[in-house]
Amino acid sequence: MAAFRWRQPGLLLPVVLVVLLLFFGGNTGLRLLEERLADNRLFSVLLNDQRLLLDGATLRAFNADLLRLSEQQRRQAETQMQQWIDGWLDDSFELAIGAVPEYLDWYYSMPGSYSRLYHAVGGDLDSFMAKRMEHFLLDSSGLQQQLAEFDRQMLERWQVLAQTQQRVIRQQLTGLYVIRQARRVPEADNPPPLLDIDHALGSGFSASVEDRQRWRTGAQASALAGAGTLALLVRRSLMPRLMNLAAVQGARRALAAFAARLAPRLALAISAGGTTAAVSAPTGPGALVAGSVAFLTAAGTLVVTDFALLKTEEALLRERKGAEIRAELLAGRERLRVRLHQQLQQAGAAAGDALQQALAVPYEQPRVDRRFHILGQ
Amino acid sequence: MILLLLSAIALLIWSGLPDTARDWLFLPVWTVSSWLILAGSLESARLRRRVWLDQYLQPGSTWHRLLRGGWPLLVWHLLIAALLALFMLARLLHVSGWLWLLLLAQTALVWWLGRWLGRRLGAHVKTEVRPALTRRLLVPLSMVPLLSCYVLVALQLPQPDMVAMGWAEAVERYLPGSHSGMGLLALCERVYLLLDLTLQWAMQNALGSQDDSGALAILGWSLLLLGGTAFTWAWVRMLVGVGTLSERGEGG
Repeated sequence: MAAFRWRQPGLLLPVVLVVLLLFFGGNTGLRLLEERLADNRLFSVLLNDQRLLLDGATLRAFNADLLRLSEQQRRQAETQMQQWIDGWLDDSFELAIGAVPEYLDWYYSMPGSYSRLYHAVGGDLDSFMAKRMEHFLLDSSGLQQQLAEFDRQMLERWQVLAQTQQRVIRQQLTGLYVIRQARRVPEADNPPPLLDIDHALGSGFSASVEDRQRWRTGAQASALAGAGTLALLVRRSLMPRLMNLAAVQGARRALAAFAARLAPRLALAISAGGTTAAVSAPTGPGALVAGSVAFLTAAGTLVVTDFALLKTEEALLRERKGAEIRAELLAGRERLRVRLHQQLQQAGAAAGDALQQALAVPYEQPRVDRRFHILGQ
Repeated sequence: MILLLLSAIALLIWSGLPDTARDWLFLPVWTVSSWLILAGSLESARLRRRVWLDQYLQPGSTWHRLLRGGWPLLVWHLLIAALLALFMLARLLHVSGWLWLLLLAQTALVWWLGRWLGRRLGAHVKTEVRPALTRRLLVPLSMVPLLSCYVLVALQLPQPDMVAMGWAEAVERYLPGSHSGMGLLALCERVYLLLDLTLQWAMQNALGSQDDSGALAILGWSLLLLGGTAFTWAWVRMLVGVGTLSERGEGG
C-alpha cells in the first residue's frame, strides 16, 4: 500500500488527460461521421399549394410537427364539438320546457278536460294523453324539428371546423418550414419524391365516405318521415317516462275514477229526464222539449261541478305537475347528453385513427423510407 | 458517509440542472466520476496482482517490478473507468424518482456494510490490506441488493405499449429524444435509450405474439441484466472509490 500512496494526487492527471482525449476525440469523430452519414436525400413537400424542398432530417422534424399539430387540432375540434353539442342540447330542450305551460293551459282548459273526459269514458285515455303531450312538447314546440335537423347541423358544423383546422395546420407548418428549406438544387434527371400533405390533410380531416353516407341517409329519412334518429330516440325513451310521472298518473287515475262514476250517473240523468217527460207528457213535441230540458239540466250540473273540480285540481296539482314534467325533460336532456358525448368520443377516436392513416399515406412510397439515425438529427 | 451522500447528491443535482448548465458541467463531472471509479478498480487490481506475484516470485526479482502493473494497467483501467462513467452519466439523465431513492439509499448501505465488514474482518485480516480487502468484498456484496431492486423497479415502471409491433416501428414511434446537446453524451444517451426500448420491446413481445418469442425473452432479460449490472457496478464502484480516495487522503 505504502508503495503507491504517492500516486494518489497524480492519479487525477491521467484521468483528466484521458477524459479530455476521449471527449474531443469522440466529438470530432462523431461530427465527421455525421457529415458523412447525413441524410442528404431531398424531398419535395406539397403544402398550402407551395412546394417545399426539405432534406431527410428536416423532413423527420416536419413529420413529427405534422403529427403533433394535427393531433392537437383534432383534440381541439373534439372539445369544440362537445361544447357545440352542449349548447345545442340546452337550446333544443329549452323549447320543450318553454312549451310546458302551454300544455298545462290546455290540460286544465274546458276543451282539454272534456276531451279527456270523453276519452276516459271511451277507455283510450292513455294513448290520447300521450298523443297530446307529444303534440305539445315535441311537435308544436319545435323540438321535433330541431332533433330531426341534428345530423345535418352537426355535419355542417364539423365541416366548418375541419376546414379551419386544416388551414391553421397548413399555415403553421408553412411558416415553420419555409425558412428551413434545403439550399441545394435537386438534379434534373432525379427529381425528389413528392409528398402531398395537402391531400392527406384534406382526407384526414374530412368525414369519411361511410360517415357522410350515413348522415345523408339520416338527414333524408328525417326529412321524409319527420323523424331523425335522435327524434325517434327521444320519442321512444322520453315519452313513456313522462307518461309514468306520478303527477300525470295521479291525475289520470282521478279522471278515470271520475269517469267510471260519471258514466252511470250520466246515463241515469238522461234516462230519468226522458222518463219524467214521458210520464208527464206522453205524446207530442212537448215530450221532446221536456226530455231535452232534463238532459241539459243534468249536463249543465255536470259542467259546473266538473269545472269546479277541475279548477281545484289545477290549484293543487298544476305547480307540481309542471315541475315534474320539467325535471323529467331535464333528466332526458342529460341522458341524451351523456349518450351524445359517448358517441362523440367514439367518433373522435375513429377520426384520430383515420387521421393517422391518412397522414401516413404520403410516406408510403418506394423512395420515402423512414430512417433511424443513432448519431442524431 | 457524508462524502458518499455528497457525491450522490451532486450527481442528482447535476442531472436535474437545466440543459446548458448541465452540458457545461459535464466534463468536470465526468472527470471526477471516472477518477472515483478508477481509484477503486485500480486498488483492487493492484491488490490482486501483488498477491499473485508474491505467491510465485522472489521479492528481489525484476519481473516483480515489471509485472506489478505500470501504465498499461493504468491506461486499461482508465479507459474502462471513463467509459463506465460515461454510460452511468447517460443513464442518470433518465433515472426516475424511485430509482433515485434507491441510489441514495445505496450510499447508506455501502457505508453501513463497509463498517460492518471492517469490524468482522478486523480479527482475521492483516492490518495493511484490511481496508483494501474490505472494499474488494464490499463491491459484490452491496451490488446484489441494488441490482435486484433495480431490476424490480425497471420492471415496475410504465412502458409504452409495443405488443405485436415491429422493432423498427417501435423505435420510430417511441424512442424519446436525448436530453443533452453534447455530441458524445447525446450519443451515449441514445444508445442507452435504444437498448432500453429494445429490451422493453423484447419483453413485451416475448409473451407469444411473435414467432421467435424464446429468443426475444433471452434478449430482453440479458439486456436488462447486462445494462443493470453495468450501471449498478459503476455506481457502487464510484461510491467505493470515494472511500478509497478519502482514506488515502487521510493516510497521506
